[in-house]
Amino acid sequence: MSKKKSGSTIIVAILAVAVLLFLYLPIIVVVLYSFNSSSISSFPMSGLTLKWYVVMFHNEALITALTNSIEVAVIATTLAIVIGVPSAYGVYKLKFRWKKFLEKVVIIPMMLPGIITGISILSFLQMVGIIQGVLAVILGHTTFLLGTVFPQIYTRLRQLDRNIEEASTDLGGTGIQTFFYVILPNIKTAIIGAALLSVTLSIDEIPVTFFLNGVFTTLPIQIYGMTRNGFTPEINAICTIILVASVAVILISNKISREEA
Amino acid sequence: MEKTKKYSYGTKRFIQFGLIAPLVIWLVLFLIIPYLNLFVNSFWTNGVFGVQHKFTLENYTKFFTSGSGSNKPIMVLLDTLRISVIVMICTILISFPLVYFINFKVKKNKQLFYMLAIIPLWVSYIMRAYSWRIILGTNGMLNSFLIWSGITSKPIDAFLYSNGSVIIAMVHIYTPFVLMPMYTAMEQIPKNLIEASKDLGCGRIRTFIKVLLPLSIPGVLTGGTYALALSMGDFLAPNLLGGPTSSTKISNIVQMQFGTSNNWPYGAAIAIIIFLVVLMIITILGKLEKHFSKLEEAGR
Amino acid sequence: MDKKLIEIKNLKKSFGENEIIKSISLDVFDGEFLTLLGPSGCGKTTILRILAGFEYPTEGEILLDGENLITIPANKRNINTVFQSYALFPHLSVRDNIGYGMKIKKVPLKELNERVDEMLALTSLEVLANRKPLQLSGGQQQRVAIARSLVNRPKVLLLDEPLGALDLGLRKKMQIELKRLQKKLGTTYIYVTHDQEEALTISDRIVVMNAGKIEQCDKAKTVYQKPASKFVTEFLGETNLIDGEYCDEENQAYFKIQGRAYPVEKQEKKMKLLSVRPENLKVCPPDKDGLKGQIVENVFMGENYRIGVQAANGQVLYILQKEPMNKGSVVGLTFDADKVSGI
Repeated sequence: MSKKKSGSTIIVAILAVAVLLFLYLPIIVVVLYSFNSSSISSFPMSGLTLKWYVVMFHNEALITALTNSIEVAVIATTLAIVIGVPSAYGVYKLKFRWKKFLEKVVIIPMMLPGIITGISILSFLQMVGIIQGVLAVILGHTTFLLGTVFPQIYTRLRQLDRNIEEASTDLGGTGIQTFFYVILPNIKTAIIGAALLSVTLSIDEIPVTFFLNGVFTTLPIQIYGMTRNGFTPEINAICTIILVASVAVILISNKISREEA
Repeated sequence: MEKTKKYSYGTKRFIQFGLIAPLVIWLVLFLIIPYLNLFVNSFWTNGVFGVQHKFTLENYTKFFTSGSGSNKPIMVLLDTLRISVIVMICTILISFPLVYFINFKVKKNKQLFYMLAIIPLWVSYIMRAYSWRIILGTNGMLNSFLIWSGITSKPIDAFLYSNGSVIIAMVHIYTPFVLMPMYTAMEQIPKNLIEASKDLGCGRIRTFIKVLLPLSIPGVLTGGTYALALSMGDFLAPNLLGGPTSSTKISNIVQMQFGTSNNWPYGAAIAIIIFLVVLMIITILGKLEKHFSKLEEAGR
Repeated sequence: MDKKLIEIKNLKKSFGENEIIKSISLDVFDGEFLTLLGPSGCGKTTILRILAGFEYPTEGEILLDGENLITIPANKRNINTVFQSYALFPHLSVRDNIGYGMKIKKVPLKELNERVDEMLALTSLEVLANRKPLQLSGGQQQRVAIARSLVNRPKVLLLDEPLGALDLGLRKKMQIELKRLQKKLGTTYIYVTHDQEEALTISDRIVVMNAGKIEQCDKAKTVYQKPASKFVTEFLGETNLIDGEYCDEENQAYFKIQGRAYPVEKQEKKMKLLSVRPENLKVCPPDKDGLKGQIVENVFMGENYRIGVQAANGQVLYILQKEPMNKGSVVGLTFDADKVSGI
């Protein structure tokens, strides 16, 4: 291959940078305008200020929504891990007729538009008498989070050398000892990764929550409501904070999984 | 010894099924029954005294016959499908050069570039949808930039509240979904295959068309499926960025049935129709993907 | 050496329609190095897995020290396995890998550490004790796998092609190492391999298997020199199979090849083929009593030349010689009666 940069390479590079710009432009805009002193997002910016962050922290509805979101994310993620990890192990260990079917069903909420899952669960909960609110939201979130926890853990399990389990049995380990001493340490990073991803997905979720929340608000639902009623710059501030937090979480989980490798 | 004998088969299997049971119960309760329930509901009707539990196809006939012109639900569905296909094509078109660049042109820090490309996926959906309002809005960045630079004197309303703004936002939101599988697919193409093709006298363009393109198709299809299925069901981007009526999408109609219109059985019927359309798309694209992966394996 | 440790009686194993093991009976003696040898798919690994407890036989009985083994779960058997893929625990250090079995059995920490240290010394792994398996070479991983099993002082050690992934030089070294450990600790080894040379080098006894059946079970040397079937003779290395007719006289048996009778040992069955290994075919002057043939090829094999001799009937016989021989020249070939076998 020639060392000289050819014309096509330059074109590809320009296109690639343009795409990156397109992907980042809106994010950069939000971050920048969270420091904009005017409440109108005009160009050029009128000056720098931190007041929207102050306003944001005094917006009680927003803070309540944020704590609600964290609460839901933690509970739903815990449930998804507690149900998803042992079941992934069970499916990995066992051969049974409905295995392939189960693997497909569990990811349905991830594949299908959230609105269908949302109204399905809404109709069902209505039928059995569970009203919209925090419980409904947690049930909904756990359902779609299972669709991300299960496949991640299952994939990791299938990458393990099957013989290490037999080796543990061979050395006297019972099923439970083998799970805790051999399997769990080897899927630990996958569990952490799945949990972190679940938390960010849950905090970000709208389509399912939209139908299940009732008067209970989560952060994105609250922001959605605020944007519907005209423009409020503290949204930029809260978005910037979420952005920083979620990128940090992703970088951490990426680091953990790379340490493993 | 007797005890261990009994333990070894049945009990072990029983314990292992016990591990799966919570998942199965959860999925049956909160996924399978709700979906089936939705399906059953779609055959009921909304009467004066609440839902009439009597089997009828009324909702489905209503879907195909009610309204007029572009307001007909079936027309909205087709329009949504059209917009979603546009979104899918755009996401693929803009992902390709970036993925190609990272994979074949970046020599150092490949992982870093890849992370850079997918970080936007981790940015909250609502933030990404809403950021386009700041950019495209009447008093937004783009308009004030145009006025500031003297290109126009009055803000242009058309940027926001149109199909165009909905498409831009959705392309932005769903591009990383396409990027990731496309990257994985292209990463797996052996570099020596491309060099071999060049050795055999194939030019850049022919190498691209004959080797690279066919081999990346499975990844493109996986990503495209996501983009298409997710755009079909997106009711928030149209709400936030679309016009009052012109950009109403099929999911918005469903949303209204469960909100202001309060006609759940009709909403359920439309949801079932969306479900079937999406299932069809996933199946067709999945078949295509399998077809191309087989070709790929055969080629190796 | 004569005490029966394991008795396998009429063992059968099927996976669905597929009968992998067709009624096998075998005794394993205490302290011996027994090798199951055969091509892949002959059922040798399945026998090992049944002994380890990972598979259950369809039929048959296995006794360990006279006690029924089959009903004991895998984790309660005093048998350990060295896996082909080593199957080391990737998250544990070498030391913790070796100590795993004792930790499970709640061996007191002091004793555990002593035994691990002893094992580390025995397998020359002391300096690597705190490494993780991924930081070790193939040969080192192999030694850890063996140490991890032997430290539990099993009655039987099962080894499933443990050297399969190593290169030739290392394999030879590890063969010696394995044998040394076995002699030192007096553990019974059941070793699975498809490499006949390896089997001949390290085993006390060899069980040659084919298609789920035992073809022959005997001392390594006997199996090589007196193969009981065509399969065994061919599987255990190169051989010359010569057609002829067996005739039994009062105190001497003969095998008639191309009209000439050669003395052979008495056979129970009427032999149809005579098997002679290339190194047991001797060259003699063509006018002496022997098979006559013409030299047709010389191939250098590293140590010896493998020389093709075409007999009158067209068959090419192979012999081994230190020096190449003139192509086209005619030689005679003879063999000793005790160095051949009839099939």
